[in-house]
Amino acid sequence: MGNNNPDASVWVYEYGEAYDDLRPAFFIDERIYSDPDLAETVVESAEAALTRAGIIYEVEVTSGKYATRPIGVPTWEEFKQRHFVEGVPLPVRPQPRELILPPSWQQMVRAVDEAYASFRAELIELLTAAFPDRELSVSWDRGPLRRSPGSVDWSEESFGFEITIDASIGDLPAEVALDRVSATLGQQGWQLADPVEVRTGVAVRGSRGLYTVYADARPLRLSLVGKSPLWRSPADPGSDFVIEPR
Amino acid sequence: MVRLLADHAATDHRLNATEALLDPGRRPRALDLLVELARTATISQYGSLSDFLVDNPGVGNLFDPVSDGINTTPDGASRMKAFEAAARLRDSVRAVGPNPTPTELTLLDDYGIRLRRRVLPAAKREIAALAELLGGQALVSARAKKVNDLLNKVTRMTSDRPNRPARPDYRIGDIIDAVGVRLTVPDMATLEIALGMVKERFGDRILEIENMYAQPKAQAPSYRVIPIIISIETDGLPCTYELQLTTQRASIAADIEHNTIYKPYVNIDEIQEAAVKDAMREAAALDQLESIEQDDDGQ
Repeated sequence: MGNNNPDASVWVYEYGEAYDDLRPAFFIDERIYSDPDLAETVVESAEAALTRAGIIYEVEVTSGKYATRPIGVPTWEEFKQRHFVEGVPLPVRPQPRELILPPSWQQMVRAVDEAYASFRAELIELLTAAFPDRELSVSWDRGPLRRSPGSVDWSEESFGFEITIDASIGDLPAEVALDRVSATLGQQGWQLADPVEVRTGVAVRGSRGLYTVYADARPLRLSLVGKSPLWRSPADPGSDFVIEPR
Repeated sequence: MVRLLADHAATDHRLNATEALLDPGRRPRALDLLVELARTATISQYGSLSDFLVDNPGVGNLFDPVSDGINTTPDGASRMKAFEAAARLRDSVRAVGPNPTPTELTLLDDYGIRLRRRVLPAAKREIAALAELLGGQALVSARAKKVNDLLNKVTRMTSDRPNRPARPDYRIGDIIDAVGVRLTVPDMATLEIALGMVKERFGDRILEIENMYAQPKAQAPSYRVIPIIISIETDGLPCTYELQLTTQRASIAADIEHNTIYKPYVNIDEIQEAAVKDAMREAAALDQLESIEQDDDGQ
């Protein structure tokens, strides 16, 4: 059995609790079905089941010579048996019809954005002070991001940010560059561990409150990575947002 | 990579990179790329990626800035926004917001079916036809969002969230990547040909190009991909899809970064994080060097 259609597809269904945080649920390989109509019926049956369950999902398809069965992902038949016949609950919850914002949501959003702007400015000032005559570049800074799994209950989502700034140190020895930035961090109240040798050079970790930094010096470059704690807005009535360590 | 593979095997988060490692046919090339990215032999000679780019400017059409006429109308408006405004008049489902009425939900059901049964196959077919012309190593994959996925995006986009002020007017039609197609090519020469072919074949149907080779993103300067929004009409109704053009090298580097740093599905320490960022920089540098070497060879 199996169809010989050279354009037969493999459909991989991914589900989750946020459109931007999906993972594989199951796949359907049209090539194992005797004809295209039967394969299409199976695809429609799978989609009807997921839609009825109110689940957030999307579908990826590869066809013809590009069609590849995903490794480690159950087939639709296995998935259906487990969740819709045996009744094992789906690991993702349906999207509620109406969004209920946690009480401190707006305050949390403002707090995260303000903390981000302030921390970014501090890191740039810090490296400018340590290397006043060197060029700085921001090499990773996506702003505040969700740092927990996406959730249909927004009180379960937490947010934080990471910023990496590089200083071109030219012929300055890595150890000297690290000493310089360590001194500046110390003046700003950062508690630093002892420097350690790493494959590329020398590095030091530091913390201040719930924030952390990691400075990594190597020939030609010093990178300073700053990380925030995580903000979350609980669902409890009247509650304020919370700031938690990573 | 071992931990990314374990995450993949646990069916948590698959990546094209881990799929390639698990596929005997694609494994050798994926391993070669991983080795060159891990060595960071090129970027370690420079203080930063920007220093490298200054010393090694990219060569060829891939590094030409996107011309104004592609993304904007003669009066400076976004062509994509102009398309969406016109499309909304022809297809009312595109104006559905975060709290749909029962009637709008019916329209949305139809839209979800249309995306999967009509738009997705049509978009995939036209990109697969291009891939055929590029030779056997160009890979095509496509995906479509479903109704709850679309509504979830509209709900999130119309609400204030950290780093993203609410866009109260955001509607279903604004989800320009409701259907997405990815074309992954083996090298920079093929990427340049692919971009040229896309421009020639789709012409005015291209509503927006964001070329990160010509204009890297400020917040992630080592990320390399070319997203292109293309309009498509099926059954007399307007729609769009997002085509992503990328090289295998850039795809592997971006995949590793995506599941460790951008979305920390796999927790890594600071030393590993530095190595991942170095691999991203190395990928950007090697793609750039490849464009120069190809030009030197007269290609």
